[in-house]
Amino acid sequence: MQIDASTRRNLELTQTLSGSKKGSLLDVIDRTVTGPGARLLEKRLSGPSTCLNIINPRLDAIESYTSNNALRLEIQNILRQTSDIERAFSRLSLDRGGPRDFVAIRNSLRKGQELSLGIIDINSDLINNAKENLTGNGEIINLLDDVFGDDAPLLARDGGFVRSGFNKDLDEIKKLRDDGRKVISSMQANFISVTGITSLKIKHNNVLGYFIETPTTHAKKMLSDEFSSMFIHRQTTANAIRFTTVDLSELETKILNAGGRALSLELEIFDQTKSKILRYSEKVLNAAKALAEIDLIIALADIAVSENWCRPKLDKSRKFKIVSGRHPVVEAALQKDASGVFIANNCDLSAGDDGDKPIWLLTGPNMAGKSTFLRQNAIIALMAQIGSFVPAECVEIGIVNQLFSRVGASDDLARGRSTFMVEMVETAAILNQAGENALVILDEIGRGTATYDGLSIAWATLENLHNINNCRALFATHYHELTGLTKNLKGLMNATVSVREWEGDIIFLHEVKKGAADRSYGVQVARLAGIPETVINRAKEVLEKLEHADQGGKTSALIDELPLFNSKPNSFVKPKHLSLVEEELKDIHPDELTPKDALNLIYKLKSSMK
Amino acid sequence: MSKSSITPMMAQFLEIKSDYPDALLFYRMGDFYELFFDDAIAAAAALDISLTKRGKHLGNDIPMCGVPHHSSENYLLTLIRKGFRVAVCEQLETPAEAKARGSKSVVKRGVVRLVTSGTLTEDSLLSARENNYLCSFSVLRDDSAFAWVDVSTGDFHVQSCPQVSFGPMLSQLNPAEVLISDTNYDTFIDQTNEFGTTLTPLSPASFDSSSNNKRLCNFFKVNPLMDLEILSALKYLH
Repeated sequence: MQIDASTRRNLELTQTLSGSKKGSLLDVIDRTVTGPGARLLEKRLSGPSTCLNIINPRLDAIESYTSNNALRLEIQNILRQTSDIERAFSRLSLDRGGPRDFVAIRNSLRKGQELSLGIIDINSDLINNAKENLTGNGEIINLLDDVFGDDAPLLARDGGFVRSGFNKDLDEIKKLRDDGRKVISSMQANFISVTGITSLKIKHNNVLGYFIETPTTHAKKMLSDEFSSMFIHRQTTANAIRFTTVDLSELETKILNAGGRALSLELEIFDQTKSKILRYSEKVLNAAKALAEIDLIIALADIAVSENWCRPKLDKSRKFKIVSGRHPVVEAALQKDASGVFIANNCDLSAGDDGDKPIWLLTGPNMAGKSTFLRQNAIIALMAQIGSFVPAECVEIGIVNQLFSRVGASDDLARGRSTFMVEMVETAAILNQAGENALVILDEIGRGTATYDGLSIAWATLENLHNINNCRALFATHYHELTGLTKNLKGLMNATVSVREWEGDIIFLHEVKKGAADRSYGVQVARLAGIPETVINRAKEVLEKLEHADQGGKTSALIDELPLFNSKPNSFVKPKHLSLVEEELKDIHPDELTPKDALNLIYKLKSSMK
Repeated sequence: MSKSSITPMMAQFLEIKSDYPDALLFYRMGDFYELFFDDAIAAAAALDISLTKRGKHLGNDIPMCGVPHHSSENYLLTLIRKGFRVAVCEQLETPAEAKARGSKSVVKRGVVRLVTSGTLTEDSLLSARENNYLCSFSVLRDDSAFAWVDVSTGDFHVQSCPQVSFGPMLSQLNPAEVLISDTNYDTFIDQTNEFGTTLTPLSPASFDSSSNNKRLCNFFKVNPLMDLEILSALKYLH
């Protein structure tokens, strides 16, 4: 589906207009439990499909999980215990990975196996495919199990990650190293008995290595001739005095050496395992993709059930029928604040007494829900084509291959463009590119310039969409004059957002009904905003005067006079009115006139000129 | 009269730095990564750490700042997010090994990693729930193509893309970094700035079609391809 940058921004698909992720469509519908699942959802949302063979299998898969809440929960619990296989594998192949990455892959593949072994036995091609990719990884799992212990350090050079029993040489060297430590403990015991200093300890630091430490109270004893041959004085601190012995140094060297050899052997094993694993790259990455796909399907099934969404029916026609559609983000916000129920609305671009009405002209006051209505229909079409259920009672849509929207005011002062200019640029893109299977959402085209200029542009744009682009469109406007165009444009239908006036105030009903609004209630909305009463009253006065001056029938007459878009340009020639004198002269035959009659005629003509 | 001398350490630093003129050089010195000269000035400002000096070079003080090794990832992330590229230079041997070669020899050092916003793989530097795309756009006479890869997952795509679709592609993928020939830099810098994406200019040689074709064929082990789409791909291999 072709979606341009402004449409992505306007519809707040992955980011709100203020640039944050929270509050975007992605944020609201994301119920995935793994990183890869979330990334997959973002990818799908950014690039909806136009192919029924891709969309329908996804819908099938989701449908098969909507009936079993417990199963979904179980699967999500297993998924939560998996890690990001793709990224771990990538790091390993780029030589940036560590033992933890291997362990992550092993554990996740194991969990994948658990998933595949019966928990997801459901009749869906997509799921069966995923199942296949999660089985048959036994070899890899066993390999990693043999090599790596249960836990693992982050970096290979920290060592200690190879399981005992895997490599005989390594085990021997480790024993040497560990035994060495045992020997140190017995050495310590020995020194204690030799010196009689019970607080004697053997410690280790980076500066001295292994050393013997006693509190300074025993310094004299330790430095005395009796012990000075055995204990080599190394350091005195405020509280302690430190020594080494030849035996201790030798042992330290042995331990270090063993430690060093153990580490280099472990690193060798690490590299070998890495090469082995890289050969399985296709299987491992397919398993990763399978886990992400399952996560996404379960997440979409989850939200479909909890938010009462329906399965959309898609085909290749130009249908667009939505029954009781809702805007998922606005609905969620209302639920969160408990500030009311979202009023669902229908949209049927193929319902009319005389054929399809692919273009709806929506009039009505501000804040009544026009923009939300426009956006929700675009969003429902988009969600249907990523292969998800949608927030509505029933949806039938012909595939949309281009989605255009112009909703919301945006100054681009930084780049030297006013609101109007931005709008014109976006509208231009739409008029130049929209084809038959496009869906176009336009909100208040012609705003931001003088009234008649704006009206004219909106008028001409509407005609172009109808006659040239021939696409499905929702066009919201304040120019009520445009509602008269239904006379000439057969595919146009008027709709309005209903409000009720109650003692001078207006109440928004948020219901979209067929018909035309004859007023925008702009003044009433201004009053709601808190504009001072004096200003409101004056505005009402001015409005009344303006409405009277604009002779009621003027615009409908205008519609009659203006030819349709494609017809020949108006060559309206004013018929010549004959003057009275010319009328008189027209029928006179000078040869038949007597001189007296001629003179009388001249007097008559002169008087009629007065 | 001897001219102001360059210490062996500085000589080593300058040699390594000459390979990475466009990146900040994180130079490992013991427990710290240190930056010198202009790198230090830029990093100190970006990281809000103090700028000091160390030693002299050709008579002038050498500006310096540093971060501890064990907490360097956060600083690295801040710099990447601000659009810098960072070359990480490690000590390749221990001081003991260096001493064994002679008391005056400097510890061997080398750059092990060039970190840019589009080539991150560490979990701590990435957002788990978002892809991190590195893209490239190449123009060959009248054709152009767009390629994108998420280095952290291995996801790789190419498609032909007219110049007008550059913006929509940026909007769809929200990439971290885009590679472009420096001859086209000016054409696209406004658009990438608008999306907050780093635009990295490379020499036109990186976009040479025949050598890239060969590298791709070797990498994917396929027969020679002639599509322009393929030409836009993978300078990321280096």
